[in-house]
Amino acid sequence: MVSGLHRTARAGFEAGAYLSFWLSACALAAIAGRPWLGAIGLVTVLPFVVLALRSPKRGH
Amino acid sequence: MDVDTVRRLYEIGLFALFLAIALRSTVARGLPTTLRELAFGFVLSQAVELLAVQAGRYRYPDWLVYFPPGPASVPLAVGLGWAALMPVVMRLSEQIAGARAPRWRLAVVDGLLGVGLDLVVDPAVSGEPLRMWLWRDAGMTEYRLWLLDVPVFNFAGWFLLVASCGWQLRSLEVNARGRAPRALVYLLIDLAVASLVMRLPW
Repeated sequence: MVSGLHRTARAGFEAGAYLSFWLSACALAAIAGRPWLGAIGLVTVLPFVVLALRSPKRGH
Repeated sequence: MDVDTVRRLYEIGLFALFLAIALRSTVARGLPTTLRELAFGFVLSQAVELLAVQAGRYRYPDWLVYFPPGPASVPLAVGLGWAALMPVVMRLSEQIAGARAPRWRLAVVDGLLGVGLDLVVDPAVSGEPLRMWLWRDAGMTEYRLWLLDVPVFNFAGWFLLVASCGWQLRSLEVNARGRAPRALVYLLIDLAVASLVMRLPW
């Protein structure tokens, strides 16, 4: 059995890792001269992170 | 910062991210599960990538470490990056949909998480000026369908690969019987499907 606190921390780590993939891509897009590309993640990445962090801790 | 330095930092960053996620997964889920997820993700993605490179779908010029070694191969960091991504998207999917949700539903969320990320990553780093991988070059397959200067084939492939890998890893996790032969069968099915998808008129 995993404690609720542990589950929260674990989801936070994965959300942070997922965000780090996105943020590094944002930096690379800016270096490549296409900084607007990073903004796509506001629609395709960020909603998943918000959903994951706001979802009730269940089923582990 | 010049382009070569950026490329080296990106490659080293993928190694570092893999190590961080492997360590975290080992602490949170134990060594056997971590090894299974990372090894299966790495072998599957590296094999599919190698198949695509050999088929002239894209190529990876000027990386530091290739696996297997050779300039017409796939960077080691690419396979490790894929392997590191899998536990991340799987845990996020389980958080979003619930770990007891049907496996197919979790796999769909896995695939959407993968494509959502790649819609930013691929247009940023492929092609000019960073040239981490190239979709257009002499002797390579020409694509007809493009999105954000990236072939649509790539996004479809990401969805299929991440979704199937997520489904298969959960299947291996739930049922311990005959894990190794089942993993091999999954791998062969994935390679056959990937080969078929690559032949479609994208």
